[in-house]
Amino acid sequence: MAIKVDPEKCINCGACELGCSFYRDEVFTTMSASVMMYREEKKNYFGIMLKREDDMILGRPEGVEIQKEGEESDSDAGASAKPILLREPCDNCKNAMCVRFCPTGSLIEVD
Amino acid sequence: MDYLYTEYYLVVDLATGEAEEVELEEEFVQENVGGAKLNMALYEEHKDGDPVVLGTGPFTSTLVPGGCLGVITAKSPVTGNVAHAPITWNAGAELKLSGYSFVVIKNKADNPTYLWLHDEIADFVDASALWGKDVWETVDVIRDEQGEDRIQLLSIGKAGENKLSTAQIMNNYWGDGDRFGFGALFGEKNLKAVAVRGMGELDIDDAEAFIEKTEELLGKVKSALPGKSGLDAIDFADIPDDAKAALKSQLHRVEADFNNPFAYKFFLKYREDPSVMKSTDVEEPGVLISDPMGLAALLKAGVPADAVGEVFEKAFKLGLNPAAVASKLSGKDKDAALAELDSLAESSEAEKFEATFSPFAPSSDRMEAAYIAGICPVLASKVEALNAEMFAELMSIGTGMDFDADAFKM
Repeated sequence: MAIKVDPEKCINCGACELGCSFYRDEVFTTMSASVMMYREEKKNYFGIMLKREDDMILGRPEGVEIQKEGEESDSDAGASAKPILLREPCDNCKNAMCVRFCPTGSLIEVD
Repeated sequence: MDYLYTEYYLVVDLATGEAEEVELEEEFVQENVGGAKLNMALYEEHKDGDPVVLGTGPFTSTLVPGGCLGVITAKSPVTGNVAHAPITWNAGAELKLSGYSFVVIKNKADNPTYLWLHDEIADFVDASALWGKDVWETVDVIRDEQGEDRIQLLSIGKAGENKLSTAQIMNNYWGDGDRFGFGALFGEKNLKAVAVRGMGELDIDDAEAFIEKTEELLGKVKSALPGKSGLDAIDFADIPDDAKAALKSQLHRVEADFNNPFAYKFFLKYREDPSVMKSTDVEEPGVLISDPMGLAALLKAGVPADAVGEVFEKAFKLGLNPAAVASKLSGKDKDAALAELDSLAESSEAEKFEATFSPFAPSSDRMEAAYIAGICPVLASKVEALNAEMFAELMSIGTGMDFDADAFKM
């Protein structure tokens, strides 16, 4: 089981952050999720970052990029990614809460 | 309070520069629940200090759909009565996670100040260098100063500094639902901004049952929504069809408030091709239409549709409430309207009206309950399932205390 990101559907609500954090700690917070929103607010530029065991998915408005560990991104999303580097990677849980609570289908589970 | 709220709320005295943490007692929550209702109780307790109360509902910052709402409660310079304005977007959620579910701000600072609330710490920061700066500059400076671009800000621009009843408390770069001139109260208090960010955690009594019920509710919410978003979904704002067509040529992406499935906000790009999805070096490509009814008011006043985005942006930078100044822009072209906004930020007065809850969202019989629960009133107006009975059931599960539907009435 893995998570697929469709950034075009993202509305930047952050329900995935709450859902993943709840899965980990059974509390409401945004701080322990493996998935994180990023936003350049004045530019309406936003998307989703998902930290995995060996890489990170950058779900940017212009498309999805897989960033390998240690690689730099040429986008500002790379700079925004720093806080997520300290977090636990996605453990590919089944029936993932980030997917269940995403209201738009921007995150889906795939085999 | 053990569940759904933080342990403490904060009472800030700007005159003395002191902030007192007060325990949020279970009995107080049992009696006043949250949001506008609990704000009102705190307002009454501290009314000698002419307080501005910032508060959250039990479901703010939770997975309950629409759980974004914070509430500003104060005596309105427009109505003359105590009133409640919404804090949408992400600031309400971040306020609670900063460690304080409620903040009472009373009296007046000697010098311009901003409050920086983070991780159960309240800092009073000198804002002398910010006084006179527009709202967008203020957001950028404070985020830079505190080193975090996810800081959420409630701030004022020139209109608030000039204590005008047309001023509103802004939410980051954008206008929110303050129709009550609360921006003038920040100006009176020498309070440039309240900045919030936190790593807080909220416990739930019966977490499994709460999540089950919340997920069931999300299903109902998604079924009830129109399947549209942004400009196509704001049927509660009276936007003429020809204006809609013109706005579509500037339309970029829609955005939602924190955990709000209904993305009714949308971005207009007019300094860059709206089809550009990349982040470019155009730093200020357009504006978020965060206030559809404010947009409708400007269009109704005759502001040309192809110029309304820039007029919105200017009003937001000055901290003016677009709905309050729309009639002053009647018959003006873009340049004249932009120039008029500069003078309106120096001197203007909002038209009086009667209301307890801000006429920013469509009126509905669920509005009052939403303002107490911490649920977006725009979403609640669309979804019958977001009602007092549902909120009472969820709050009972989440806290282990007993609440009935009457608890979600003022």
